[in-house]
Amino acid sequence: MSEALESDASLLVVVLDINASAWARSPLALDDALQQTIIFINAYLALKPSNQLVVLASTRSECRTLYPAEPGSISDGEDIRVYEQFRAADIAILSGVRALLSSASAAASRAQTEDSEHSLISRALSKALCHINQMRSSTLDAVWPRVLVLSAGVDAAAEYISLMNGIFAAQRMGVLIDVCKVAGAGDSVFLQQAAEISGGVYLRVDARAGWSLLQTLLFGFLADHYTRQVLYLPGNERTDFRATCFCHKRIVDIGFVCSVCLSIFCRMTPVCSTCHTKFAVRGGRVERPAANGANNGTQGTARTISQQLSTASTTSTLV
Amino acid sequence: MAGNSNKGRSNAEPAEDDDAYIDIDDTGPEGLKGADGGYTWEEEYKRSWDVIQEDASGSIQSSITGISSQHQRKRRLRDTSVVQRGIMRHMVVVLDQSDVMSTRDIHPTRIQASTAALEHFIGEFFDQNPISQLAMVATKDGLAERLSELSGNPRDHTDVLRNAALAGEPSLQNALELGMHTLRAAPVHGEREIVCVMGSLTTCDPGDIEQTLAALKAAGVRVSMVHLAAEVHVFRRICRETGGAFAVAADGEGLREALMECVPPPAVEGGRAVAEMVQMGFAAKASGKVPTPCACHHELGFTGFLCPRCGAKVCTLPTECDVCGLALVEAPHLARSYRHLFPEENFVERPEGEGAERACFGCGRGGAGFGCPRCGEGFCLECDIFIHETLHNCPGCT
Repeated sequence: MSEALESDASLLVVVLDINASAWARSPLALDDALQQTIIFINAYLALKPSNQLVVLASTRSECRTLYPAEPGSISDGEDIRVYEQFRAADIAILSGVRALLSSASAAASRAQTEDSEHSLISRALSKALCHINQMRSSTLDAVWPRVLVLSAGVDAAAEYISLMNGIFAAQRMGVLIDVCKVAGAGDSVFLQQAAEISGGVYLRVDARAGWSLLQTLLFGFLADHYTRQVLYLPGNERTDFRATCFCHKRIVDIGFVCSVCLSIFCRMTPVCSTCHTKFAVRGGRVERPAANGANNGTQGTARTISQQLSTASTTSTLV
Repeated sequence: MAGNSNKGRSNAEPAEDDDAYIDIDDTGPEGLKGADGGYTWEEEYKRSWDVIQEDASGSIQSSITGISSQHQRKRRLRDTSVVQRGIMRHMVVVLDQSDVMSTRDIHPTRIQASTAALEHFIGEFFDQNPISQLAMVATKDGLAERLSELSGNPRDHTDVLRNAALAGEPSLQNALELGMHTLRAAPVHGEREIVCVMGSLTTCDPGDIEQTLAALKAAGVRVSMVHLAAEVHVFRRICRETGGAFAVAADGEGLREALMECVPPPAVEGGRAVAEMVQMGFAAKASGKVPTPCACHHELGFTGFLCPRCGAKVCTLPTECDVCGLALVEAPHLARSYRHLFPEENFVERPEGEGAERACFGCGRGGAGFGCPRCGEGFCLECDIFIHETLHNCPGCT
């Protein structure tokens, strides 16, 4: 890919994590955070008339596209005091968040589900990449895409593989994933990796109150691809990519990896505990098993592997 | 060798005839007859420009879109069965560097088109198989020469491809023997593969190729080939008997596609796999105030990765430590391979009209003509292809 020029437009996909229980515990109210985010979005739209915007919002059960809104969903009324593009975006985001929150609370009271701070971030990221792919193929102009995730919830272990797939796809497409951790305790290890691998910025806002979120957004995330070539952006200390073994959850420097399912162990075992494959013994004669024999990586246990991996592999990158 | 000698066309002939020949078996002259019972050379010359029709407004855009979406649909359907796949692959790529590769029937020349396609292939291969290894072998003047050793760094292989000098005839047997020799060092749990890009219809071999074929089968090496001119009987037979694929590329695009077929890891046949515990080192990033040379390229740099066993510094991951031979990876490299174990299901095309007016679940535009069988959401063709080729992850199911 060639280098970004000053005149090139950007495509920004904002992913809002509006998980109600995560926001309830945050010192910064969701209302205030939304207000500041909208100011940031307006600033982005004002930077260049050709800048494009997509806004997605995600709760723990649903992920919706808020902007561009479906045609006809926004009234045509005009407000001469507001720039038309700002108005369309602001109304779409605010009404969309409201609708999504009410449907989420209705669904929660109906299903009596456990209060959880997991949001569907990997679904939102997948949708964001679909949007970017579609916009790229429909225009001939150079558009530089990036994703900004405003994260509030905590990492969901089951999302690990799908989130990783999204991150690698973004890396291949040259999409930067910026992450702003707005609320919630501690850092998101998954999203730290997302920013690290795709070349984006990961920042955590200590959002007590006031305007610190807006300040972080404007200074850390407004810069486009072209500007980032000359800026030294904050927060790029390197994430540790060492693995944790599946058996004792210890961080390992040298590990043993099952050649069938890629599970990581800290010591040699005769049978893989994830896929139940029996390993050939070193030193002895290596026999190739008979056709469709004892090798358990095949059809039958595939689902078991999938289930175990989705929980076990999460820990492989936690440090 | 002379199996289908009448298929070897002179270079002046148009390239599109190859398509008709690919699947014809060696069944005598009858096998050369077309669908209407006549010989292919008796058919009327196909004019590709007749396929493109102007629409009412005089534009050819809709016609071209139709052709390309037909083409994409063909690629849409993939093997999604959950089977054991050879994730750790060891592959030798053989490139024909004989005189015949300077022919200009594939633009700009066969060798330049192959080099470009191989560079693309190598990048794609390591992107999808980060813990695999590759080596390059060239064959010319009746000899085979190893261009690069088995390694996991794409730069090692793409660099040696440039500025190839063409000479003489290729030797398939020598190339296969050298490839087999290279793969001998590969561990038992790894998949062993040879992929050849051949341009010559002849080969200059020192011995009996049948013995080489038997040795290949015994060693469990899978041979796949892309030929740039025509189908050669012995080439095809080697591929078939070792479990690989044979393809004839009619043009640069065909060559690229045939190579892309070799990128996803192959399913392991029941009897062939040996499972092992592989020792791997998770190298830690190190940066110093003084530049130090890396063990792999002997280049000075401030940053690098330290081998946890011997402390040697390497500049890129994944790789094998040059001092102690330990496989060095990062946890995300392993995560990248998980998707081959659980491939995304193919989407089902919905009947005309149903769901076409609904918005695509991925991009929110267009008609949702394809549905995911697991979550039931609808997607447009563009998103369908993107999800299966790049993302590997259905937005509705996650």
